Amino acid sequence: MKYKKYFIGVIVVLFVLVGCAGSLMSRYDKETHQNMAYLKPMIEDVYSMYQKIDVDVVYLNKVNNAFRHILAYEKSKGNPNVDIVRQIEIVYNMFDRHAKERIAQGMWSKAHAENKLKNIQKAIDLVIESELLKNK
Amino acid sequence: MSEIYSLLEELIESDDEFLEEQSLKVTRYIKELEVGIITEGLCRSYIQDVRDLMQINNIRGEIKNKALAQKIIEELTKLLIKGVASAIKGVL
Repeated sequence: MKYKKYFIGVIVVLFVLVGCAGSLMSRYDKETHQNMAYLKPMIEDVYSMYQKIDVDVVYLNKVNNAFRHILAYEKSKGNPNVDIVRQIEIVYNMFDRHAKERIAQGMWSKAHAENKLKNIQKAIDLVIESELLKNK
Repeated sequence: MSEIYSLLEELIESDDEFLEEQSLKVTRYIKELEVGIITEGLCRSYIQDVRDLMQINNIRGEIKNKALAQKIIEELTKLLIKGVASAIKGVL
């Protein structure tokens, strides 16, 4: 009878530990996947715009805001999601750096815009792949 | 600079498609700068992109050649700080 009591106690402790471990792990989030996929055509429009003389600042701000909202959402998930946050920060810095380069250098050639677009799209794909890995 | 070349060669020969592709890109950019096809600014910008892509990839949990990729990220950062053109001149 005495051992049965201990046994139940151990089972309860194990359940608590498994529950805690589960809450510390980041799970696949469909919204993260959708948010990153949503950015891709927007960025494509921006890099196409960089090949023209004028830059639509309103649209550029819209994309910047989309990045900020996504980052705020990811950060709200807390510590287990720190890797995805760091990855999106690098993508956002890359996007910001490209914008600064466009302002400093002037109009981009088609080949240059395509190279830059390919690189940032690959960066977004890597974030999506990382999120999908949580499914495994 | 010679450290970067040997690391790039190692990554090109690795069995990782992503790292191989990025290493080939860096090698191509440096060659294009050497023969004057691209400016130092463009070369620098492309190398920064590759460095960023490698960093994003390296944050992922279990990936092949993580330590080697980390080494090249550090070397590319040093190269960007030193200046791509002056680093190349030092080797030539």
